[in-house]
Amino acid sequence: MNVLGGILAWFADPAHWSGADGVPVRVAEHLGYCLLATAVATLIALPLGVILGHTGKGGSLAINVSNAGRAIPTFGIVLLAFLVAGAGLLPITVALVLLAVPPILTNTYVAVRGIDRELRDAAEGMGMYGWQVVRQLEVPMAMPLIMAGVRTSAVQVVATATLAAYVTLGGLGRYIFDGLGQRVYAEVAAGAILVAILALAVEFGLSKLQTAVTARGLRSTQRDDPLAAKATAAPA
Amino acid sequence: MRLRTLRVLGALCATLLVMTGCASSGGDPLAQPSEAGGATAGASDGASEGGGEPITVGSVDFNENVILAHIYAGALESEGMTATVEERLGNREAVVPLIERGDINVLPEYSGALLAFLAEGEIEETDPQVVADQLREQTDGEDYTVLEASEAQDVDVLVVTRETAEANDLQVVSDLEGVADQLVIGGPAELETRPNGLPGYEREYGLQFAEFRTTDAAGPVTIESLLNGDIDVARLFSTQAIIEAEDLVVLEEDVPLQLPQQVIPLVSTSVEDQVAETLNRVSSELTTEQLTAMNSAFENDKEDATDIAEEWLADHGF
Repeated sequence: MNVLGGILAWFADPAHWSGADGVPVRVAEHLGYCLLATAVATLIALPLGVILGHTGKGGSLAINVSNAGRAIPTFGIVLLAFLVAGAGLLPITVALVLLAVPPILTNTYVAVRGIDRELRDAAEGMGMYGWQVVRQLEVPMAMPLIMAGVRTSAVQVVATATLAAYVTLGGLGRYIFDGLGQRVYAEVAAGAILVAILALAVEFGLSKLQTAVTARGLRSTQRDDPLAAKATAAPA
Repeated sequence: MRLRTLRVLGALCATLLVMTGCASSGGDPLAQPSEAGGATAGASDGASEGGGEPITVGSVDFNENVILAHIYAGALESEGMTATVEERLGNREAVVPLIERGDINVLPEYSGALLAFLAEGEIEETDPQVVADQLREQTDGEDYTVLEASEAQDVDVLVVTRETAEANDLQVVSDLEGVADQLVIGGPAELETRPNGLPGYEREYGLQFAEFRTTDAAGPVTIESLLNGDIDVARLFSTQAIIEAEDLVVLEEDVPLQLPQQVIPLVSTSVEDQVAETLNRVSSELTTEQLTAMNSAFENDKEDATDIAEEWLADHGF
């Protein structure tokens, strides 16, 4: 059977759409691992990035440390954490969190650090305290870049969560590892395609979320918003 | 379209290309043009000097196979040939094509697994001699062939911890009857579907396990899962050092099911005449006990594969 036909046949088989090894269950498991890891990473990196950006102290050190961490292969971390902690959610979550923290941390730090000095002066001039400056000025101003970091992390996490299957968990990696082991290459390809589609969907969903959580006044200036670009180009 | 979306799309296309590439080339996911391979090809074009063509012994990514590759290379060197070892070139799917291309000339192999691979089908044959004969037929007319098989075997076995064995009075596979439905078995994905995997244990022994959990091919995931109780029965390889080190119990097969896995040299036909005598002598000396002991030296005592191989060669008159 040709390759494309084999992949289509795999998707067309109703047996692949139900039960514990069906696509809906595997997608749900996969999203579960990703959601957990991205949420934990955001809870760590966002406050840390804001504090570092706000105070301006220790920022480059923290970012260098977290970026250096990216040099450790995620595969190695998964396996190491598995050997230390045994089966369960912990190994894959630890590895994915370590993968997801640096983009969020770096973006948050850079975004907060890069806010115009004059805006801070104005906020302080209006009588805002440090915490108020953070909450009412810095975080809203930094939000587009912070969300860009979250999106980068989330897409990487979706692709990498396939490793969960290596340490006896489920998710879409199950198709890839099982297909390789059983030499059913259509299943491997189907798994890879599902991961890619899921990554695109997550990217799309988060871009909607990004718009929703960005202050109204900042939306039109998003540099990568095609509608905004069109709007400014139209009068010419 | 947004830049990042484009990147993701690009990654998707790349993945697809890689996947289709794998499947259409007959399963060769790890094959890569290696520099060493190029060098070998260049060398083999040159004039042969001294002990004939320089030989490159390959090995798959598996400790025991690496030691065997060093034994083969050392034995050839002791006969005055030039032999180098390329370690851990990947899995069988990746390495056998290197022999076809001439990047490597010799590969330590296992009879049953190699036959299943070359025949591109599932083999249900438990007689070592028959498997070796079929293997010879299978390689007829190819660019590679097999030499004499050794008596040393590394077969698939079911293993339990000492506690599980004592609690359920387990010694042979058929002792699992009656308790299998309370036990979780773990192994590589293919164990679930191969005729001599779970379907075989059900067919020959009537065993149905409570659950199958995909771990890995007798690697750290399987071993750790067995030791911490996530699985009760593990599929390991009979010569693994961990069996002795952790006092695990191998369940002997009272009804033959697993393929024989005799260690057997797979060689390019171009060097067959040159290496056959030496490698056949290695095969005639090698035993299962030695394999187990060498694995133990490597994994438990952390000795170097080359040192282990040299010691074996010295002990056997090479």
